[in-house]
Amino acid sequence: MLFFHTKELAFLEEIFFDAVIETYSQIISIMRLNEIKRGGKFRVTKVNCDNESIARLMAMGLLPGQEIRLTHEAPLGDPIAVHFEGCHMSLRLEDAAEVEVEKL
Amino acid sequence: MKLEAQQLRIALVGNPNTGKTSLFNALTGLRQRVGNYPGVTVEKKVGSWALDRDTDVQLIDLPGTYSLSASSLDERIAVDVLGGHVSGLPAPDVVVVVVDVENLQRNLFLASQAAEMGVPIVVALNCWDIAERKGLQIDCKLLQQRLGVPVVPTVATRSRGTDELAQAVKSAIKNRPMMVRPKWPAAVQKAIQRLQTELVEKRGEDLKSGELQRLIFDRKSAVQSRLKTPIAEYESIILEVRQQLYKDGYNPDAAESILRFRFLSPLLADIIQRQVALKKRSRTESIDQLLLHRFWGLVVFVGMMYIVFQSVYTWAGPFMELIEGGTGMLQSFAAGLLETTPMLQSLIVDGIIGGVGAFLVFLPQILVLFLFISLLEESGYMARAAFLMDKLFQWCGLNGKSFVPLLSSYACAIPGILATRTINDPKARMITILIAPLMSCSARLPVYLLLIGAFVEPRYGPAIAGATLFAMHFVGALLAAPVAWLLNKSLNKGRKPEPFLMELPPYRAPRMKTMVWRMYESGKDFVIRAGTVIFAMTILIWALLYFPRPEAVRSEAISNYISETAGSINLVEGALSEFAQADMEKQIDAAYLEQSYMGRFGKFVQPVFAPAGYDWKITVGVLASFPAREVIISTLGITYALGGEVDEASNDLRTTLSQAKWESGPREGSPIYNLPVALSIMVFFALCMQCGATVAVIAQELSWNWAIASFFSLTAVAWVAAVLTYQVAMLFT
Repeated sequence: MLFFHTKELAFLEEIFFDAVIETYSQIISIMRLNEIKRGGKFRVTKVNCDNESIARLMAMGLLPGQEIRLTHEAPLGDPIAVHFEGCHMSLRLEDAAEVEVEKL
Repeated sequence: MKLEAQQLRIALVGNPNTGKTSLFNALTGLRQRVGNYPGVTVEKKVGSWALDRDTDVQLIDLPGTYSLSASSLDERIAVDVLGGHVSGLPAPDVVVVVVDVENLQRNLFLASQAAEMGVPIVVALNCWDIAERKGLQIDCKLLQQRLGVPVVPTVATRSRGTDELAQAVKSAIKNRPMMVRPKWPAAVQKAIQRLQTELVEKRGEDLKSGELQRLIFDRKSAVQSRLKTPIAEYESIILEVRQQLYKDGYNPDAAESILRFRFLSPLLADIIQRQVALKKRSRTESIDQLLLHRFWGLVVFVGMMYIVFQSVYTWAGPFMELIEGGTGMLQSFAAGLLETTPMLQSLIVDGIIGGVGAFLVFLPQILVLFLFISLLEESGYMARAAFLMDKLFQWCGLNGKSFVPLLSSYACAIPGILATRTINDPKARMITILIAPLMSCSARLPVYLLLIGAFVEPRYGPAIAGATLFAMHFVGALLAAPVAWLLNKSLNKGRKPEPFLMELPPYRAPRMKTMVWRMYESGKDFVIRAGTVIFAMTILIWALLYFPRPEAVRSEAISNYISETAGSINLVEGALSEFAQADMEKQIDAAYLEQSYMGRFGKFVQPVFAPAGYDWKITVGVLASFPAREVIISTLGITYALGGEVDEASNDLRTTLSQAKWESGPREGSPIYNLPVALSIMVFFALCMQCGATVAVIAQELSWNWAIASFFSLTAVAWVAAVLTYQVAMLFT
């Protein structure tokens, strides 16, 4: 970036890049349970245990490392049904967004 | 005689869909009673279980839960019962944990939480037959060794393994076997120890180790509400302990699940052996391919709901007619017997027999609906129906489980409100109950048919008449949507409603015994609790319509009748003809009604209803139909001296109504019933809770406060809407 010469601007530039990188990482690499498609297996990488629904699912075995797959979507797109550890559970998209997964 | 005080208590704990209730029924049979836990609407089922010929124990069926985290009401109750903190229920002597063989790990999670409460445990491995059929082999002996408690295979639906379970419980009462518990990491142990010192030793709280864990691991633990320590004090202690645990590397919100599963999975390693390779797709999954399909799933769903709805209408129809016919026959029989004592005759015929008939008539619909509901629930389809419909209800804090109760309310709100028992979230259930009376039930139909037939069809033709009838069925639902939204706003006060997580259990063939049992229970509940109230209300309205009854009214009515019909009267040998006699009796009834308490009250209240275009006769009709809305037809029949036996298709009544004119006041001489009045009456009936049975059932399911509040608010809303309809419609005529 040729235009940034002063210290303050360099600092701003850093913030700017941080923001871009964060946004990119969200767009590209992190996948959430509300975004996965049917077919294919996924693994839970991170869960937000601040969320009450997620805390309950954790007590059923939805923990990091757990394999999970999407089985159904309701006619209006929400809720979804997922299968993990012998459980067939229905949950809403807003809760599913609190679970990060990776494709296997 | 066995002594109640010395009776042993056994609690039944388990995940939902494990067959826990089937096991409870298999163990207790008919010797059970259903009530509520003190202060909450959670169902409390207690039964008597004969361990052997001489030992009867009390068996308590706790609500099905996945964990003891106590975020829902059901879980709170479970924690409190296991800790012995429910009044009248000391801690259980033995806890039987019902475990679904197919989901061993998840089910034992709950068992290991229950074990922390310091109670002896016996594990019932249920659904053994399904596991066998699927080729699952479970090493019971090894599991028993590793857990340190008796493990008994059972098949609750066929009462298999119940004797062995009784044996295991009997020895557990003596030996008090404790289930193996996880060895917590030092940081967690430190946290427990810290709370032990602060709360138990320093402040004298009565807390078991399991309850201390609940305080550490759960955000708003039910255990908190029981502490005697001031709220600010214990909250800061707990916060401090949780923060310390976080600093030590364990997120208190996640630690329990992670640690417990880490403890359980090696315990369960090589316990399960699959003899047959698992089929690629289970039967349930194949069925779900159709039933949860985004298009075909909906088609099947609509078809199923149509069948349920039609059956509630048509199957119950003949039985309802039978009850009505039987009531009628009994009434005319009693009327004949009591000819000489008119007051007693009227009390018994219209009051008592009519009152019993008034609530019995709901029974067929309740039974048919509950047959279907238990069929849907037992088979596992109910959860799928809620899954398909959930999105429609999300915005107003409800969930998909409200659909079936609301649909049933279109046939009748009584079975609909009883059907809300399938909704787990207490707030969502409450909102559903409160909006159910707005669904246009079948008792409103006669009112619509009478008024549309008399005022809409003759002027606008059958097409508009049909459209009006259709529209009337949506007026209430249209209002229900904002009402539900407002109720959700005020009941949940910005908090999120209970999370909507629902297991989609494997499909199972429903069993006749369970279905019959649920029909029986719902019917019994209704007759005992709501029936008595409906009966009392019918007697009250009867009295208001009957008294006072001075002889003078009768003679005045007779002389009026004779002078009015002087020219045309048919005197047969000096006496009135049979026809004229009957006609005169109707005039007398009308005169009595006019000066009865109800008639006077109607005249007194009429100014309130004047802005909606009602005269005193309509007002009396509206008031008299508060116990049951269909009563307006017969009341109008009496006030217009046509007799109480008219129905909505009666041409007499239709003509009389359209010819009725204002006798005084500013509109003297103009017809009382014009289109605006007809519409206004229909809107009033669509919205008002003119149904004593509904009020009684809301009181039964929620409380009298809610019942009375919803009665008055719906009446007020109906009045406003009726006035608006009349005034707006008058602008166009």
